[in-house]
Amino acid sequence: MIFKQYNRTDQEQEQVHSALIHIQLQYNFGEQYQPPEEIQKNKYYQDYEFLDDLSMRINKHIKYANNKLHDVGKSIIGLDTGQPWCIYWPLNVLASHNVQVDNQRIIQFLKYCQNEGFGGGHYQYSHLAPTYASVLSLLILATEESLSVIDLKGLERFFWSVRLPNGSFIMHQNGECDLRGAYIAVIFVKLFNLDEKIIEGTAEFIASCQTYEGGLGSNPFSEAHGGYAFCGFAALKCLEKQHLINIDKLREWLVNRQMEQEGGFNGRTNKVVDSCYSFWCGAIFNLLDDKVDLKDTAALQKYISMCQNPDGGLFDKPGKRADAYHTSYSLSGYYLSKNEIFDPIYNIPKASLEFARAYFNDKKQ
Amino acid sequence: MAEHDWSDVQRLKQYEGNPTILNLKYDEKYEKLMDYCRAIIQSNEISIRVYDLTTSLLNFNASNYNLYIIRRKCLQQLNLDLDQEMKFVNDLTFKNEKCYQIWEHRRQIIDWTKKYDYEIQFLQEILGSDNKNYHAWQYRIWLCQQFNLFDQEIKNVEYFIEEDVGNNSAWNYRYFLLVHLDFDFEQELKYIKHQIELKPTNEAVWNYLRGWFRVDEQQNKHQKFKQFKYQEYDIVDFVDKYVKEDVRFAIAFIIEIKVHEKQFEQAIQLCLRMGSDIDPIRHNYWNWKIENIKKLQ
Repeated sequence: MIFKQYNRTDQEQEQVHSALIHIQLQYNFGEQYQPPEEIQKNKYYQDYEFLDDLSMRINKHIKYANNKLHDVGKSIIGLDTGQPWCIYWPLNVLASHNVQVDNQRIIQFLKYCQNEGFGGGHYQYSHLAPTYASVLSLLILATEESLSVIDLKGLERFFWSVRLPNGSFIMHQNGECDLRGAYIAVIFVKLFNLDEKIIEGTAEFIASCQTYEGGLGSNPFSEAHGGYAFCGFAALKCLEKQHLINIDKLREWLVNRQMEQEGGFNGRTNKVVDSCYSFWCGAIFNLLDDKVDLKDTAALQKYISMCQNPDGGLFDKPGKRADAYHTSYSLSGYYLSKNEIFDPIYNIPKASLEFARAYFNDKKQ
Repeated sequence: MAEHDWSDVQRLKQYEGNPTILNLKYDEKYEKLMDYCRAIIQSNEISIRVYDLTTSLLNFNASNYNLYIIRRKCLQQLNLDLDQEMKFVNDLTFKNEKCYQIWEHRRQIIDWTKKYDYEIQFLQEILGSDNKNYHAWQYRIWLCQQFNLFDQEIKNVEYFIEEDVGNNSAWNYRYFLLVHLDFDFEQELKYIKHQIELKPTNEAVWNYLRGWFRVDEQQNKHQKFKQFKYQEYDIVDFVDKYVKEDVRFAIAFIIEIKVHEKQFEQAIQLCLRMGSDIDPIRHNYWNWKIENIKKLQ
């Protein structure tokens, strides 16, 4: 028996707003502020640990990332087919502040995952997502050695093997097709000067994913979503084909992702805030060519700051646990909102990308 | 499920016992099964024991994409019972509602069998758990196109809007359906207006309303769209009512119209109101809009 569940949108939103409002009031007024009794039952409020102040505790997050990089342990089970993500997410945080890592061990590990593309672990089939995480990790390390590991011919063959006739991409042999694939293929075909025929028609496919709301969905007609909007627009920008889509509509959809109460972004109309959209939505602002900041950056930074765990790491929203994914994307979003450190298309430190560009352009000659 | 004999297969360890930088640790049983899985990926064996191996491992981690590659080969080459498979897929999906791989697996099997009778009911249950499950709606779009379900789906989508008028996934789906159907836009406008009246502060319905009208010139030639001219329909007066009630979505629409009609001063006034009182979080955007409008004057 399926029962109608009325107005779930409002109910959920109410809970999150309520928690955030009282948390903000407590930060503003300190001890003087007494929240109402009922808020203690609010799941977003009850486990929230208040910070002494809202400064960005980057040293704590670096410690957290360092720990994640070196000690995943048994928690790998859900990500056992995405092990390179467990490298990339913390590595990006560490590299953002020039923290030294053991390049050798990282390279050795990623070599195991490489098989033309990269798989989720040694002896796994190649998959575009771990390929993305692995290649970005090698780019971040930015040494001749880390870059020479990348099997460019193999990568090219892998991209050909997952390309569909209309310019879209499946994530692995016999796998699912959505905009993530197009983004991953485009940014590496361009960076490594691979055969451009691989991405013939891809820009047009991406454009066909723009919805009536102005954002982009996973496939044509799918709902506009921050993650896919980033993938699509970053790829178009990489190809210098942004104008295939209606940028005005994208921009209007995008600015409306910022939540008036929370300051952070949601990923879709009428959904709740999540700190990871600080990157997926936030980075699109960096990619638009409007010479002014169209978002409320102070409000965004404040939201991200509220999502810090005092012991290190960042989380989706109050009430949630910190994890490497949210730590990585919240911090990328935070620094990108200041136009610092990261490249908005590749989401790696700009310095690393410059090194890679020089290296691969040299190879081209 | 029978225990199979794997004695002829050598376990293939991931990292030869050497700890990697991630210091990965595994449950003994899982590691054993994965060692066989890695060996199978190398050997390309297709057999019942391999199929059963994928079942065991999927229960540990349903998002293991390797298993689906192997499992689908088994299903086809061994001619296995796809009705049974769908039972397994249904169970696994209820436990892993947001897993990319199980939804793609479902899609491929339904594509082979063409047995889509139960699918809408299944989606009803999944959406009962989370009415905005992105995978479910994406799958529904594929299902509808593949089996030409538009006529029944345009009726079905009303349930979701009635249940939760803020459900943007449902509105998005409705748009998709109508792009593929002949429909009376006047009737649809009545429906939209009624939903706005029920909850004027609902962003989803305003986006949906505006999605049917082309006001500006900029086009995306790769979008499949239907667009109508706002001047030909009774809409501006309706929207104006909500402008007076300070509904920011209504005001945003009127601003677009005012600019199009070259009523620049009025547009600028509305942008000022938005940036200062009504929509202050977007004050930078509204100021930028004002600068752009001034360039048109």
